[in-house]
Amino acid sequence: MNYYVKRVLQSLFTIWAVLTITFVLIRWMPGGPLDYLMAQFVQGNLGPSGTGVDTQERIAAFERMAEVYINFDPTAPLYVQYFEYVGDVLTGNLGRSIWYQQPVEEVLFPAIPWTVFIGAVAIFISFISRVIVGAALAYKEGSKLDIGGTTLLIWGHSIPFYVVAILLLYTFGYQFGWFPVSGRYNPDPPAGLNWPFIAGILHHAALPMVALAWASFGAGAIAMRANAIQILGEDYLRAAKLRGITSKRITLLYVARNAILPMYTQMLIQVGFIFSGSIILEMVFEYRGVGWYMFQAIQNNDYPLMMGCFLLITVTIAIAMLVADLTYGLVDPRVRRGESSESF
Amino acid sequence: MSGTTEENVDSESPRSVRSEGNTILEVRDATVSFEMERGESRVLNGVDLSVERDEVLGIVGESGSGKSMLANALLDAVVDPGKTSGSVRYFPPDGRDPIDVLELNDDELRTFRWEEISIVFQGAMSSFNPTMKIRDHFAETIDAHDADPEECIERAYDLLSELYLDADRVLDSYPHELSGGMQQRTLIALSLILEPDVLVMDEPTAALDLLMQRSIISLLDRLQREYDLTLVFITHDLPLVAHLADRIAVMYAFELAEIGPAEEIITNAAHPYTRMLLGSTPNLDAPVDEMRVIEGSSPDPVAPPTGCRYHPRCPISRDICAESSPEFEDVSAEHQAACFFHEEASDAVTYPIGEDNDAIETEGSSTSSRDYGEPILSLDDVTVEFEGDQSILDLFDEPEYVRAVDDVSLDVHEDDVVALVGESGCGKTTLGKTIIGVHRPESGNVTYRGQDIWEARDSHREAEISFSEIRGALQMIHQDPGSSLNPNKRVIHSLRKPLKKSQPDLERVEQERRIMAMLEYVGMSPPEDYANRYPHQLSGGEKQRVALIRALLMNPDVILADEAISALDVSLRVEMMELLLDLQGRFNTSFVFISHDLSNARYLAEKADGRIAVMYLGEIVEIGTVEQIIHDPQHPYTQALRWATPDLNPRNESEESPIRAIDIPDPKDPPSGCRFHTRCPEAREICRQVHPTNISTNGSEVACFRADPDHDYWDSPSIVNEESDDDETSMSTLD
Amino acid sequence: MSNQNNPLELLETTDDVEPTTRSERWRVWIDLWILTPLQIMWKDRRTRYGSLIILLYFMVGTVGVRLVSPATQNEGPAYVQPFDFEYTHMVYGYEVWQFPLGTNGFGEDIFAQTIHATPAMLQMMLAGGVFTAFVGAVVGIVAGYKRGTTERILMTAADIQIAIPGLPLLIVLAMALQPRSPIVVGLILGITSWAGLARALHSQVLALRSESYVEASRLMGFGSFPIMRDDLIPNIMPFIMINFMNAAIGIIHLSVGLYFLGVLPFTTDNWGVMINFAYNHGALLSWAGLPWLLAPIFAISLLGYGITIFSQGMDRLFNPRVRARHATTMDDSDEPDPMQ
Ligand code: SF4
Ligand code: SF4
Repeated sequence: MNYYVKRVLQSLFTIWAVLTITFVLIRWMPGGPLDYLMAQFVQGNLGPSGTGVDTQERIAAFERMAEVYINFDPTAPLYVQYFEYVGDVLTGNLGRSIWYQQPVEEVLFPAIPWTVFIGAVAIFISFISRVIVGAALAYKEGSKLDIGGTTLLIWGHSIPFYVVAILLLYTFGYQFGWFPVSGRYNPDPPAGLNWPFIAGILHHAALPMVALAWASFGAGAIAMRANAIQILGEDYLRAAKLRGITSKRITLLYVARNAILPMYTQMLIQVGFIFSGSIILEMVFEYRGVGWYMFQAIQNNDYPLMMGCFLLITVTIAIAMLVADLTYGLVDPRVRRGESSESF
Repeated sequence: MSGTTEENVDSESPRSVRSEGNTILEVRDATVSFEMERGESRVLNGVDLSVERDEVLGIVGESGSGKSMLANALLDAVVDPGKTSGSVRYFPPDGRDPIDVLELNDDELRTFRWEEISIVFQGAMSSFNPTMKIRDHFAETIDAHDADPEECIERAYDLLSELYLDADRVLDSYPHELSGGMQQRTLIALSLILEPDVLVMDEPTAALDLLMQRSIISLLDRLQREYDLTLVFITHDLPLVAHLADRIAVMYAFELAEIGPAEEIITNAAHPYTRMLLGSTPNLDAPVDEMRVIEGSSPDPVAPPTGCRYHPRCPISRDICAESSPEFEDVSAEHQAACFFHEEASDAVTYPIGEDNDAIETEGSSTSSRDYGEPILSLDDVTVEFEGDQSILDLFDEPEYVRAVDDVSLDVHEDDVVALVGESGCGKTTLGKTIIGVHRPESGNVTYRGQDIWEARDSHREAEISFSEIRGALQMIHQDPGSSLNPNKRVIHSLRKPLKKSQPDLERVEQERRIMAMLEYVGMSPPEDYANRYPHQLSGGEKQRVALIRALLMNPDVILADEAISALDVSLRVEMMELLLDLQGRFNTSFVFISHDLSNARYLAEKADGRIAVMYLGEIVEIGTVEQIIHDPQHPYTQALRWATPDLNPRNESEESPIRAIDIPDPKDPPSGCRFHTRCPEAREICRQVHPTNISTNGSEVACFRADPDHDYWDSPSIVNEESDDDETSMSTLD
Repeated sequence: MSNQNNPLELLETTDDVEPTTRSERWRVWIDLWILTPLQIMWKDRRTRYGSLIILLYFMVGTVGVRLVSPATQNEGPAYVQPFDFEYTHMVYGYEVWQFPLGTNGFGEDIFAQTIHATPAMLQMMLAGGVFTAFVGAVVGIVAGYKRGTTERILMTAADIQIAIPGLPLLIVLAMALQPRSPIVVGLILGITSWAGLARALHSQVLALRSESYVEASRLMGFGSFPIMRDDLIPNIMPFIMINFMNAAIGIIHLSVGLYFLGVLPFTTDNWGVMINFAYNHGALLSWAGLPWLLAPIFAISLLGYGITIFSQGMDRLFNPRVRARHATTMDDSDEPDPMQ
């Protein structure tokens, strides 16, 4: 079968597998969503209260409720539950949040742009800086700058990004007070396209962005350095110099481009992992994005919301990987189709 | 070597100009050294050399003789941290002042290179930026030198088509989309784009097939005359440049050993080393018994031998040779050699070309009358297919299949040697691996002593001869010595493995004893020392010997040697082949020997009384004894290979290429009818439509209509001249 | 077999070879597998410092916990600063700081907390690293060597595992399973990282299996297992080891993250738990909370750094070229010159 068709089918298969896993988790996880819902119902926290209602009715009420919160009725035959669940999810119905008493998608979807905004800018910052740092160290290979720089990069890489987030928050948020310590925007200026409001957004997003950029910076810069060093030793570089090509052109079109291209897939996959990393990051900065809601859901045992976040993140990553694989052959002419999937 | 500033003489008869002593490059005391932990490594030592205007100078030496350093020093392009000293003076043809190349600053060098002298390196693939189209390589070069873009691009088109390339398609390709031969020719065009006067070529063809090498050489010959080029051609392969070069310089141990007119060097070499080199080169004309092995190995650049550097290996060295180093002495007016006793060399070291030219007679041997018994292995109408590459465009197409081997039948007998010869991509390795049961054929049978191999495999125990027995009886030696042994295991470990299989109950001591005996036998002594080494501590030739022992310890009936010697230095090849022959005779093992080099195939097959099979695009187009294939080839393709095989006899003046297209057609989509018709010089209309089947002519089998004097072919119109505008043929491997 | 001229019998006329004695073989073995690696490790700056750092953590985790008594609440005032001589006590007759790194908001000794978190972290790391390396290696090698259906199934499983984001999955699992033993935590965390290794190894094995010497072994009739053992694994061992170390670092980071998030039950002292408490209980509000925050962070990053540099220098340990140069039982005088 053709590689591209195969790859798309594989992604679909992955998404299906994830759906099935979430279904299994919801249905059978001990102390998981179903158990929790049941407990809440029995305690009367959810559903129709009042003790006078007869059992038949209570069961029917529970079934209806389960249908709303977790998309299937636990008393129906298993395959019906399964299809109900998969069907609902595929049509964008992710259940209902217990804590917010709103459909999950209504809670979650407005949060997506905030997370994407932070993630996209962070990846951009991280990408630019690691290319520059990596290339600079490669050109100075073996010098004091290179040795010192590499040591620092490895150190940086050994500190998890959320720890960096805490340190940034501590220093620049709490102690120096240069940046806000929580929230997404300033309450005072009216929301909209006016400078004070946008400045507020940027002000709030600055620290999270730097922390997230950190996540991929150290390893990325080390990889860039290694790529660039390898290319600096290639025969075609020497041949180009002999042909009289200027060093500026060599740096840009030979070293930089050829060293960056293999990092392309890696970058796309990071796009997918933004959401994953956002859980701790947004918790630290109390930044209400997808990750923050997931954290809240964990804290409040809001299983439908938690599962919704999980699905959202998984599907994003599957799609990012698919795009990375399918387009890499177009970006890097060296790669014939099918050989590109060394990406993860 | 003075009169240097004359105007360039008319280009009509460039060859006559040379004798006037018209120097374009003058090298004095050129030395290149590297600082190494062990001391200073002089990889070029005090070389004096003059290159005449419009000549072709061949520089010949084994690997590690310093010839590449000389090439780089001509452009002051030695890589860091190497240091070049001495002087290289360039005399511009238009009467400007001479240029001291080693004194130029970076900016001056930038313009000097490519405009006056340019260089072509060996690995074409690694000379192009893999993420840039060929067109951009040309454009940036033109741009960097502020040349007129239109004029230069026009020249690029001219050059490319002169090199049998479809300029538009090549320019719009990425490097990896071109075959090796195409890349190398493109690189030549790129080096000539700014009309330099001198072109230095550092092993430009070494990685290519012989036919491609030879085609490029004949193209170069033409370009050189057309563009008034001075060519410095560096190679390890003396016969290759024999016809192209006007003069030949031989390097040994980082110094020049001998220099002189090509004909004189070939027929009357004065330096013992040159004579040994000539004698050790397998070629088609010389009687095989007269080729010999060069003893010893080339010296270390850090601690070269004292006196004459060749003295440890020289058969006529005397005491003085170890004490003082010989200066260049005139052999004749233009022929110098650095040897005290060069007058004696011709008697002491003989080689089969030159003075005793008449001895080369085709011996009417009795080879064809050999009586073959039951074959050990036989292939019956075997076809092997592979799934081809796809591109994004054929999204929903079924994958294409490449027929690597198409309908081949072949028998391998006891104590037999079958040499498979053909260009790369012709399916010879696939056929070889099918013979020894590695590839499973799509159709047809491979039988071992009457037992179908793949049936035995499928039916496990029931087969008459079990698959594991067959497996052990068919062994292989691989092409690349670098990967033939497990880098993490010592030699002894690698060699114990076959013994464990073939003789499982042998005691450990006994195992070791046998391994040591074998090591000793192939000349690796002391064996205890070699047995404990890791592969990286062995030279290429030694690795191949260990691989050979490993195969032999299985006690096999047939060994497939897949280009097993082509990675070795020329002087080692004969040695390795001798070893193969010796062991073959001793152990009754049959060899299937794969090579792209007809002369190696001939050497082995002739000595072992075997056969040569010529393959083209998955088919065997001709098979027969050495006698038939080498001295009386019937198939036009065999004739082309014969043409492409370098020979040293200066009387065989090189003719124009007999093939019409240089590049092999796309094996995914082989030409209709006779697959060779797109390149065949004798092709006629019928060849395009009808597929020739094997025709037996006195013992050999030929797949060409011309072998049958009564065939319709002779009435069919020729298609040789109609295809001049048909670019597809030469470009069809481009995909 | 019709081949009468057995090469092995033909050549038996040569001199006998001295059989190597048992003790001789032992000597070679010890030299090759113990002394030489140690020597190589010491020669390279990265492996030397890396192994020293790792050794330090190991000592702290085994001996250190016996020397320093665990922290208790209100053993001192809150927010004592590091190296404060006001608070000293006697250890084996010497007067030393009672709170070398100060105390936290609950008056607990930060130094003791950091020390006592080490054993659990090391257990987690080892369990997770071994799990990752083992599962990843088995899946990758088998898939790469076996091809066909086995390959397809294993690689699809790995692809799915890769596509499922690690942290959210772990959160869900941690919530469900509430693991208490550090080893179990390590194993669970390992679930997310084996697949990447399996995939990388798969492609390495694919490249290796077409090497000539692997084909030669197949031609000799060796089965999958001996080929994997002799020809494949030794050549990808450095890669597996490096991945084992990276996985170990990943496990530390993940576990600290999960403890920080509070989804894993707080059973023992843990650097993540320390950060969690510092973050949630006011350490951020003043500079006095800095030691509370920095101590666990430093512990995490120093360990990560040590493992990283160790793993960077490690491929030399497995490189036969380097090994041969250091081994004393081997004559290495005539290694071919690289210039040739
Ligand atoms: S000088 Fe002596 S050692 Fe050197 S080549 Fe001549 S005879 Fe041989
Ligand atoms: S059959 Fe025709 S095209 Fe083929 S080799 Fe013979 S003459 Fe040439």
